[in-house]
This record gives sequence, structure tokens and C-alpha cells, in this order.
Amino acid sequence: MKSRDVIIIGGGSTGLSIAYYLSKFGVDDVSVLEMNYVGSGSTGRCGTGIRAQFADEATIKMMKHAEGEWRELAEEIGFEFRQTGYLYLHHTEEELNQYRQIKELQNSLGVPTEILTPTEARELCEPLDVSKLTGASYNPEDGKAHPFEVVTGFKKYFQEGNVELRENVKVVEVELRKEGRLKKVETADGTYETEVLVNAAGGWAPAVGEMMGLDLPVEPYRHQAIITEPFKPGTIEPMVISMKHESAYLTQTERGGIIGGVGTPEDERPTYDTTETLDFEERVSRAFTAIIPSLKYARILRHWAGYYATSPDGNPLLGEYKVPGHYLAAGYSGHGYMMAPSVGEGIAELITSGETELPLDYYDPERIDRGELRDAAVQMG
Amino acid sequence: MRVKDHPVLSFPEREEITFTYQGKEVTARQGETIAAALHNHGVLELSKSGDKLRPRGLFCSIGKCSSCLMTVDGVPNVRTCITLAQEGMVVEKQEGFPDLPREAEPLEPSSTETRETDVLVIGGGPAGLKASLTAADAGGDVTLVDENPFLGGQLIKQTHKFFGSSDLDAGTRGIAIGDDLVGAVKAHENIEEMTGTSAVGVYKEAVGLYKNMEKFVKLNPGKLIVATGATEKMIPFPNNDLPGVYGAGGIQTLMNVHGVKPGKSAVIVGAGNVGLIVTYQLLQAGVDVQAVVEVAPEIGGYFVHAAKIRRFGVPILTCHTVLEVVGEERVEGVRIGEIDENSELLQESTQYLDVGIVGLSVGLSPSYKLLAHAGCELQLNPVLGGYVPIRDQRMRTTRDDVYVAGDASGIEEATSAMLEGTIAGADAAIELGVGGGREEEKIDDCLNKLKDLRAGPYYRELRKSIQGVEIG
Ligand SMILES: Cc1cc2nc3c(=O)[nH]c(=O)nc-3n(C[C@H](O)[C@H](O)[C@H](O)COP(=O)(O)OP(=O)(O)OC[C@H]3O[C@@H](n4cnc5c(N)ncnc54)[C@H](O)[C@@H]3O)c2cc1C
Ligand SMILES: Cc1cc2nc3c(=O)[nH]c(=O)nc-3n(C[C@H](O)[C@H](O)[C@H](O)COP(=O)(O)OP(=O)(O)OC[C@H]3O[C@@H](n4cnc5c(N)ncnc54)[C@H](O)[C@@H]3O)c2cc1C
Repeated sequence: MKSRDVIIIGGGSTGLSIAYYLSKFGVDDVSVLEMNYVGSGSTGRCGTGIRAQFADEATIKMMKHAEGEWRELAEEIGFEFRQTGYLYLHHTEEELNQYRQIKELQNSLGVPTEILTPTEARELCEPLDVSKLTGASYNPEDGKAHPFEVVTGFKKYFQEGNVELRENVKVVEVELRKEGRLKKVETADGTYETEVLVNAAGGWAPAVGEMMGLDLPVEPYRHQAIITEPFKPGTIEPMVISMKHESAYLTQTERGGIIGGVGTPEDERPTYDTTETLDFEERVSRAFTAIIPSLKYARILRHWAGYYATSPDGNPLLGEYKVPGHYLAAGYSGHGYMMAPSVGEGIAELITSGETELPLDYYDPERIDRGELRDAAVQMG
Repeated sequence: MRVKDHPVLSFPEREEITFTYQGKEVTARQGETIAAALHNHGVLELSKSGDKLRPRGLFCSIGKCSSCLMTVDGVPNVRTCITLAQEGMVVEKQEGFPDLPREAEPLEPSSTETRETDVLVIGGGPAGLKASLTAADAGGDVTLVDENPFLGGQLIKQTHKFFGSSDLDAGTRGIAIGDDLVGAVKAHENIEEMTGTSAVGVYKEAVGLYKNMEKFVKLNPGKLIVATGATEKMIPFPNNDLPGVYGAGGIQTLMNVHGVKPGKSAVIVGAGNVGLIVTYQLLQAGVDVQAVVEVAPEIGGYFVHAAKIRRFGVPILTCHTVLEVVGEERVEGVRIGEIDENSELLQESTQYLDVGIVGLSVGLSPSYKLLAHAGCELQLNPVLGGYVPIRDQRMRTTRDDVYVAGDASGIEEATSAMLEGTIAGADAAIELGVGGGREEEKIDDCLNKLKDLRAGPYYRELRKSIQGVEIG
């Protein structure tokens, strides 16, 4: 039986980032156990978007910090973080005014969001139909990164360092000592002794929780996305958001495909089903062509689904939870990829020193037990 | 360059139309695809590829390979091999990935439509035609979709007399069989035919059909029959992507459907039946075929076909392979050579042939994607050409409302495709409660014929493979 300082369950953006920061802080005795391959969960299925345009202080702070880290990570482990901005389209005076206020909050926390006129919005993305816009919000520091470049970057980085990353290894059981502390982690291929366990299992976090007798407040919601055939790259640089059109988000990848999706319908129930639906294809087509009419010429090449692992208040559950040494990092409700560097750094700090300057206490999972629900963060992309 | 004085086909004069290519006016025959019309005017390069800006030309000519994408009337990425040229069309070459247009009219709300049908048949080749006719004869409402502008699939270019047993259309030319079937389908009041329509997905809710880039139809069938045919295979060698390298079926479409001569001189790669037949058809169209190269030590196709082309003096070079295609913008020549039993090249054997056409006849692989999307269980089966669905004798896949027939179920030939199509159509009709005793008889009859067709030592491997994917 091997003994490890920290075992991380899940090789998505969360687990990989936590392992990275732990090794940065000198904890080398770390194993990441992934039941499939890195990025096979929601991470590899995500919309690539990274933004600091949120409406609450904690999330803005987390994301302002994360964007700085994304820049450095990109350099260090070798992927591209393209800061091409998020462009929120506004369709009424009311919406515009609301976002003016949000902009003030964002600016006060160092996020340089600007309010643009429709014409200025079109300068950023020529095929946009701006005829029905009242304005747009734009933060040039927001951006995108390709999840498979990111996870393979981490993988290479770990190969050169000391973090053990094992793919195709599923955790099946967690054993606790009598006094309730962690004892060992059983996998389909070997057993590990550990005192620290990170549950970064995304939509499967509840199953991992169950192994410790915990009932975690996380539920998987199917979320779908599409990518079209490629067009000349650089045509749709920002991530374009339109709340009016079913919370649509869309942008162009570096290769040229247009990637994105629309929000989950209200009547969707939690499910582990990741079958894609025709209904989504129709909704996404209507929304996208309303935002950029010429997208009616773009054929959808691929269409897939993953999970938004969702918490009761739509905010992540981050921190040590119930079993001493058990750290939970899940329940992002749709924006967990972008947050990965801050979550990684914050959780690694909690594990090594018990404290962090990042506002992780805002996301303390026990808030749910205490009935202190936060305002839901603005979701999509 | 038009085909003149063909021994089998005649291409009567048709009305001429005019469209513009790169700002210049060019003519086309009514009913001709854009790619065929351009080919006739010597335009082989249709676009430059997305990433590396390599020249791209026609390859499969049946809508499957996306080597012929052009911008037509401002719409990017149109498959010009299956889009008919029309008066006044504006056709532009794409240099790399196309521009997303900056302006467009909004999508009409009427652009989607929901419909139902008893039987939906995807693919109008011999398998799909027979499936449609059989289900419709039983009294079922049939919708038949095909993304080509005309029905018939690969059959409508088979100008030669069919091989196979005597009561199975052998001795009849493929085109004649095709004409009969297409005629019967068009005349049948229970069949609605939708050409120019691509099936893009088999969802739980419905099958998604995309019609002429205009309409999205959500069709809810009682039973679905997938008869999507096959995709031509490609082999690796330098410059295998240059215009002038075609699939065998692509060459046939140009010559035998559109009456356009693909070039002056050719080398054919692969001496199976398809390679031998295409060679003969090229000779009939007046093209000089310099050699057929075959990597195996033996000729794969029938002796009669080989003998026919030898009579024209075309050498069939076994143990030979293509080393490279030479050319910048299109095929200018090809280097071939002999290999020994260890697959090592015999250096002194290499030779350069000065040809403009390299025809690949290196096999086909079943077009299984819609079956995969439908959730049908698949198996990788090299003898049958690639991924094929697990099915029972009545061509039912592991999803009991989804059938398969023809090359999509494993590469064989038109005769077996028609028999399988009949079985699938008949069983679908029975399951829907419209078919009965007559359909049972048809199934029995076809099962017997399939058995005869696949009898003999030549088909031993094929029989074994089919048993391997059959259940029940
Ligand atoms: C269509 C779509 C679009 C999205 N767009 C965005 C976006 O633009 N920006 C953004 O920030 N977020 C986006 N998200 C959300 C984002 O993908 C997730 O929040 C994020 O990827 C979560 O990462 P994770 O590492 O926590 O989970 P995951 O990536 O799901 O990783 C969890 C991993 O744990 C493994 N695992 C589970 N159980 C076990 C076990 N017992 N043993 C071993 N391994 C196990 C799984 O195999 C999986 O790989 C999107 C999500 C979807 C589905
Ligand atoms: C050069 C050559 C010579 C041949 N000679 C002979 C011979 O002598 N004797 C013989 O028996 N056989 C011969 N064959 C084989 C025979 O042509 C095929 O086996 C037969 O055509 C297969 O029929 P099918 O209906 O399965 O598919 P196909 O004829 O390939 O038809 C499939 C159809 O499906 C359509 N389709 C595919 N996907 C979609 C989609 N997503 N949406 C809508 N439509 C779609 C295609 O447009 C196509 O029209 C030859 C083949 C070739 C290439």
C-alpha cells in the first residue's frame, strides 16, 4: 500500500489545478486519480470561456485573481490564454442601466469593464447584428483557453515534476478511522493511505461523498454545447453573451469553429444522461442566428453534453467539509473551469497553511447546512 | 472536356445555362453539378484547404468527402459535387477557411417543420430504393431522403453489365436497373421523395433533416431504414490530396452521369472489381489508362473484368504501389514501384508515368455515423470495410425501430444491397402492421437469394464476417 500526503479524486480542471499549486507550495507527495482520462468530465466539454464580469464581490475577486493566474499558467505550462474579452449584449435601457451599476462594482475591484455603444460592439465583432442593442459591456481582460491544451499542459508539467497523475484509475471506496479521520482510499487498481483527500469529482462528487457517508448538496444538470465547421479565424474574437437569447454564449476557437451554447431549460431535472437533444440544436440555432444572422450558413459539426454540477445556491462548495482532511471543490454550477486557478491556489493554501487571502470562506460548504444561501452568480459561459 | 462517342451512353444536348465563376461567365448543362461543369472547363482546383492552403479538387463526387467546398451565392462551404449549377449563380473559390458573411437576412420562423411518416429511408441508392418500394407496396407511407440532387446512389453510374447470378439482374447494366427503380419510386403514390436533403442526426425526439440549406425538418418515423452507402477510402502517399486524385466512384460520376471526361491519361490504384470496371469505363470514355497498380500479389477482381482491360493493352501491375504523386497545383505524374514480400521497395523498379488522373479504388467503408448517433451497437469489421452495426437477418439493428441495408451494413454490391433493402422494407411494414404474408414471402425469397449470392469459396471470408455481426 502506498502512502501519499494528498490524494485528489478527479482529473478535471479543478483536480489538476489543486495538484499544481500543491506542488508549487512544496507538497510533492500528491496523487491525482482519474477514472477516465484527463478532461473527460465537464472540463473537456466546456465552452472555453474565462471571465471576471460577475455581479458579486467574492466571485469578481476570485476571477480577477484567476485571470492573472491563467496568464502565468499559460506561459509556464504551455497553452494559449487568449484575452479577447467577454462582450455582454444589452437589449433594453433597463438592462443597460443594471449593467452600468455592475460595471462600477467590477471597476472598484480592478476589473476594467467598459460600457460600449452598439457601433463599438460591432467594431469588436463585425458579423454581429447590433440593430436592436442599447449597448454592451466589455472586459478586455476576459478570454478563453482550450481545455484540452490546458489539461495536456498540466499532464506534461506533472510528468516533469513529482505529482503522480493516474488515468483509468477509479476510486471505489474511502475508509475512515474510528475517530472519523481519513485512513485509505481504495481504487480499482491499488490502495493508498492518506490523511488528506480532495473531492474534485465534478458531477460525480456526490458518489465520492457517499463513500464517506456524506450527502453532498451537488446535482448534475445536463448542459449541451455545439461547434460549427471552421471559418476564417479571428472573426468572432470576444465571447459574445446575450441574456435575451436564452443566455446564449458563443465565440470562435483558434482553429475557426464557432463554439457555444444556450442555457439549460427551466424544466430540466438532474440527470447523468449526456445524450444531446434536437430541441437544444433548434434553440441554439435560433439564438445564434438572432445574434449573428450569417451563422445560419454555419453547419454544426459536433454537438455534445456534459454536466453543470450544481449547488443549491449556484455557487461552488469549496473547503474542508465534515470529515477532517476531506476538502470539497465542486458544485460550480457552470463556471468551474474559469475559476480553476483560484480554487487550486486557495485549496492548496488551506491544505498547507489553513488559511488563504482568497475569499474561500464565502464558498464554505457548511453555509448550505446553516441555510445561508448566497445570491447565485451570473451563469453561462 | 466532354465525353464523345461513348459505346454505351449518349449525352443528348440539353439546355445550356450560364453562371459566374470568379467573376467570369461559364456555361453548364441543365442538370449538371457545379463541380462537373467547372471540370468540363478545365477548372480542377475548387478551393485551397483551411489550414495549409493546399489545392483541393473533386474526390468522391457523392457528397461525402468535403473536398469540393466552394462559396455559392454568398453561402460558404457548399458541396459543389451535389449542388446543381443554376442560371445566374455566383460561384467563388475559397482560399482557406471561408469568411463568415458580415450580413445576412434573419432566419425565417418558417424554417423548421415537424412531420411524421411510417417509414423513413435515408439514402436513395439501390438499398434505399428497394426498401422504399417494398414498404410502400405494403401500404406504408414512406419518406425517402437523399442528399444528392438525384436518386440512385452509386448505381446510376454502373454502365457495365452486372456480375452475379442470372436471376439477380446479372447481365443487366446497373444504369438500367437504376432507371427502373427510380422510375418506380417516382411513380409510387405512397413515397414522398426528398432529394437535396441531408439527414444530420437521429435524435430521441426525431430525425433531423436539412433541406437545401433552407429548411430544417424534424421527421418522426415509425421505422427508420439507414441506407447511407459507403465512403471511398484513401491511402497515404505524398500529394494524395492534389486535384486529379479521385475516388473510383467520383470518376464514374463525372464520366457516366455528367458526360465529362476527367482528363487524358490515368493510373488506377487497386485491381479489385471496382478498379477494373472503372479502368474499362475510362477506356470507353476515351481516356488513356497507362496502368493498374495493385499492391497484392494477385488481382482481386473477377477474371472477366481483368481480361477485358488486358485486351486494350493496359498492364495490371501486381506487387506495385504508388510512391508519390508529382505536381504543384494538380496531378502531373505519378511514381510507382514494385515491392517485395517484405514490403520493401525494389529501387530499380520505380517508374514515372506522365498522367493527369490517379484513380483510387482501394475499398470503401460503410457510412455508419447516423447509426452510431442512433445508439445502435457497432462492431469494427475489416472484411466488411469498417464499423458496421450489429443486426439480425431481417436487418434490424440493436435499436428495434432502426434498420440498416446495403453498403452501410458492410461493403458488398448492388445486388445484395437491393435484397437487404427489400428485407428491411418488408420487415418494417410487417412490424408497423401494414405488411403481411406477402412481405413474409419476400423476406424468405430474399434470404435465399442472399445465401446463393454469398455462396462459394470466393465469399468465405465475407460469410464469416457477416455471421460475426448477425444476432438472433
Ligand atoms: C457544455 C458546457 C459548457 C461549459 N462552459 C464553461 C465555460 O465556458 N467556462 C467555465 O468556466 N465553465 C464552463 N462549464 C463548466 C465547467 O466545465 C465545469 O465547471 C468544470 O469543468 C468543472 O471541472 P471539475 O474538474 O470540477 O470537474 P470535471 O471536469 O467534471 O472533472 C471531474 C473528474 O472526476 C473524475 N471522477 C469522478 N469520479 C471519480 C472517481 N470515483 N474516481 C476517479 N475519478 C473520478 C471524472 O472522470 C472527471 O474527469 C461548462 C460546462 C459544460 C458542460
Ligand atoms: C466503381 C464501382 C463499380 C461497381 N460495380 C458493381 C457491380 O458491377 N455490381 C454490383 O452489384 N455492385 C457494384 N458496385 C457496388 C454498388 O454500386 C454498391 O454496393 C451499391 O450502390 C450500394 O448501394 P447502397 O444503396 O447501399 O448505397 P449507395 O448506392 O452508395 O447509396 C447511398 C445513398 O445515400 C445517400 N446518403 C448518404 N448519407 C446520407 C445522409 N446523411 N442524408 C441523405 N442521404 C444520404 C447518398 O447520397 C447516396 O445516394 C460498384 C461500386 C463502384 C463504386
